[in-house]
Amino acid sequence: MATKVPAATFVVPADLSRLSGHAVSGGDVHKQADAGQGLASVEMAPTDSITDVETEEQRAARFERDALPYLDTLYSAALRMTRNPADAEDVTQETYVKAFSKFHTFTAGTNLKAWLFRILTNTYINTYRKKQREPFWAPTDDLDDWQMAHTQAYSTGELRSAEAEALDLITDDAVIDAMASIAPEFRMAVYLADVEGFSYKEIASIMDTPVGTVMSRLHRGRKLLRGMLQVYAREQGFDGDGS
Amino acid sequence: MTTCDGTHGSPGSQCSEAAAAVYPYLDGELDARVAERILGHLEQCPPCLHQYAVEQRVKALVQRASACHGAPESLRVTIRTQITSIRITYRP
Repeated sequence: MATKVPAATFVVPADLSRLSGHAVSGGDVHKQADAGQGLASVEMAPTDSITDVETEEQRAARFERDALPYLDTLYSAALRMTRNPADAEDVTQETYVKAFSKFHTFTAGTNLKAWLFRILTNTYINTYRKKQREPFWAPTDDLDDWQMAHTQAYSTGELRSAEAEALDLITDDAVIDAMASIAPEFRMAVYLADVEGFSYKEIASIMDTPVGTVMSRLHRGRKLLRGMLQVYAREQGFDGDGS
Repeated sequence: MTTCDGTHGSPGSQCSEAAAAVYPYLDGELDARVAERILGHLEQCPPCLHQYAVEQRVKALVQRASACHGAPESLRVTIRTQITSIRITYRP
């Protein structure tokens, strides 16, 4: 899992070593055949020997000991998704109730955080859809399009370095607004990758999609975010006269 | 700003590879060999380097804006209470 790095420490573009800071581990993401493999740890896996022998009281104690420490993490994510403390509390509470009810299916010793995030994501997306009057906009997840968009994005010219630096002056509120305006699937994928540092495989398991879909959602979500933030920086006049 | 070889962004170019790999690179999802090759390209290609810097900043902004919020104590209490009530309800 990637290490979280505070935004303020990044001084780009000159510092190449920092740019490469995350590029150390993980498999080749282009091995799509691997998508969905090795993820049983986060699935609702069959019971194992520990859950077979423990009493209900012991299981409840284990849940409190192991799952409750993630409360702040899950609530923070719910708050970023819903933007509303009351809704965030509802989603978090529902997540914990579901998780406790299903805890006997969780394989002890595997990735509990990802398992909890999977339940949180389902809960949030379902709640969100119920609240939407219009049919939910389902993004098309297509890798060819992903690659084409990339090529196009990079062929349409250069940005001034001042504009890149101007991004640092954007307020957290503006970033939160921009995050809130993109589709929940994109928002969740970006949050899981950037804030929680989950790997693509873990995100695929959490969101119950192939790795290619995760990459597509990250690409589209980030592209939308970048566009909005760049427009915002320009409107605020952060980029000044360049340099 | 100049392009590295006059083919910036064209299919099959190194820029094209760098473009396709920007997010996996920044997310630490590339294997070391590929990441090394990308890094070598960035050192020689200001437009690609710039694009990586922009994407890195956007990622950093999202991290910065999403600092952890402590859950309200009342929520912790509610969840504990609910778990207890579920145990009682489902006890055989």
